[in-house]
Amino acid sequence: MKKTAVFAILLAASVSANAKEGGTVRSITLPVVETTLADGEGKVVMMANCSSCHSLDYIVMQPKLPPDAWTGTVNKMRKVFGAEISDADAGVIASYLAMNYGTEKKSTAVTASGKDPTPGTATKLSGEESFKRYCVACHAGGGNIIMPAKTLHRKDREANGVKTAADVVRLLRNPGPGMPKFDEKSVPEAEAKAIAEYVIDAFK
Amino acid sequence: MADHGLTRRGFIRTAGVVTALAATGKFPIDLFAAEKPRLIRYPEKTDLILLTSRPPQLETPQHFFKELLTPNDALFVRWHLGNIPTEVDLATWRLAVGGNTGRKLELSMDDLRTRFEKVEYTAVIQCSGNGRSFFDPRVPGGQWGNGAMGNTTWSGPRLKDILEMAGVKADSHEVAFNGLDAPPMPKVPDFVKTLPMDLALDEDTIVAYEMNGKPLLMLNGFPARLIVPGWFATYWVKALSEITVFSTESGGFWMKPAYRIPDNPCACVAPGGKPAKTVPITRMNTRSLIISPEAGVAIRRNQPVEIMGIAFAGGYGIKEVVVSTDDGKTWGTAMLVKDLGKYSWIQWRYPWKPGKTGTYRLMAKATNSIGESQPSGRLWNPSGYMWNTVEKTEVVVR
Repeated sequence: MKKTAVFAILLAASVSANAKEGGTVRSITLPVVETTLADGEGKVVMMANCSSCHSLDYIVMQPKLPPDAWTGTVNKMRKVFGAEISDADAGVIASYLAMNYGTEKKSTAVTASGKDPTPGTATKLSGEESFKRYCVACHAGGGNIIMPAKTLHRKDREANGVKTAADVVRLLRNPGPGMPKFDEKSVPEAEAKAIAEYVIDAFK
Repeated sequence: MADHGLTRRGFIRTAGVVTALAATGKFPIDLFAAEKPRLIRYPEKTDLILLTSRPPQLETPQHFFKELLTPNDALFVRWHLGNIPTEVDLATWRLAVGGNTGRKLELSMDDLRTRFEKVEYTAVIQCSGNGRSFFDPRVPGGQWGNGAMGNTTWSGPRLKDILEMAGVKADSHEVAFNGLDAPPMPKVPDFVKTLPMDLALDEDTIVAYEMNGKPLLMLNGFPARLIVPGWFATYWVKALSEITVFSTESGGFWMKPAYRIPDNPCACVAPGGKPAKTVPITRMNTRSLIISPEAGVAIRRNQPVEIMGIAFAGGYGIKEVVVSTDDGKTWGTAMLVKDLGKYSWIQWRYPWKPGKTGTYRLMAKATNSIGESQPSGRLWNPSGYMWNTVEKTEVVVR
């Protein structure tokens, strides 16, 4: 199936500039721009790892690259830029990128050297393990590197209406600005629940 | 399936944005064409082309280059690290100067404004990767068209005067510059650039706190940034916080392996090849661009048209611009109109009256005062730096 253009979605609230007038403080609020990427094996692993350091429009912007160029790019992120991506995840990410943003047709693109952990095998992970796989890049220690005020800790969480495990699952399925969407195809219900229970339990 | 292409939700939101932009009359509506620029308005800026949002990389639409000076709100934006400064309090901000110096300085904005002579000049600011999207074969990286550049009047104290106030030592080798931007993760290298001593002590290297007579914009490096006129903007460190003098080579990721070019006169290798040896990118090469007419516009036969463009080089001034309207077969000399000094770009004009209908390829080629010109063929390097191939603008005469 031919893939078509991916559109960034501008959030209406983000357009307003708000440089403060007067005083010694100058400040701006950056917009959050949402980018939808192609569905495919390894998408969630890619989103969880890549979006901790940069927006995903970095991927959409690139020309179609051969598989070895995508592998090289993932390696550059790890070895040169210091991204903490496991060997298994790196293979999954490079494969996803080559398949969906590469020069090769889907059927002939490289497959991951490691097994794709989603879904299937991933359901065997504990809530904590799944949290480490999908969430920890942005939410290490229950924090939030994209929106620092919206931590996973109870006080912040509940202030934002996320009180129960079911609320956390709902947020995974339908996230706010800046967070990738984890749908049922990539994170099955049981695994999402385990993550949610871990979050409620771990960040009090 | 639903995520492929234009979902209904995506369509509605995208259409909303495009409609809003279309109302300004600056944006052709063609929702279904691939790779149309997506415009976005960031704080303190006007509508710019969105490359990436975090960290922001925003490109200037070509029509702004009709002006000799690029308006501040239209100047391109390019940051490297996810954590960029979004708030600066001048009551607490200080520029620290130290290292291989007699003493350490902690300069406030008042210090920069009152304790040093203010220098002012106009200089082209250009990203090393400007034009990267034109490389063939394509290379990964920020896919800039020609809008990662601008012409701006910068003002502030000389770096030399600051270093001398700190008592820079005679055996110094280089100076490193760090800004307020920070890595998104602990192991990601901080953005630090270094300059050799001769350039650090050059009369024209300044720490600018104003662009076009106004305080710097946040996204362009408020409160102060380094200006190294003639050199690519990778050295023009934004939101400066720290200047450190070293007696030896200090290294650092952003000098090596990043921002390096093949070590040969053309800074090029065979397309797809790898350079045997690299050196840091430094001075800008010579470029010229046709700004008007824009590609694809229709022109009437026997109507006079003025071809207008800009040209610049790495601080040596432009000696000549030649223009071709027949795909490079014949060339005529353009009239050089106006610049604002040797670091500024120059505007040129070339009158044209096409006598026949058809498709025309317009080209412009500049030569600087030391004889450096532009290649007609494609020069390639793996990082997509220093694009300056003579470009072709296709127009239709009816």
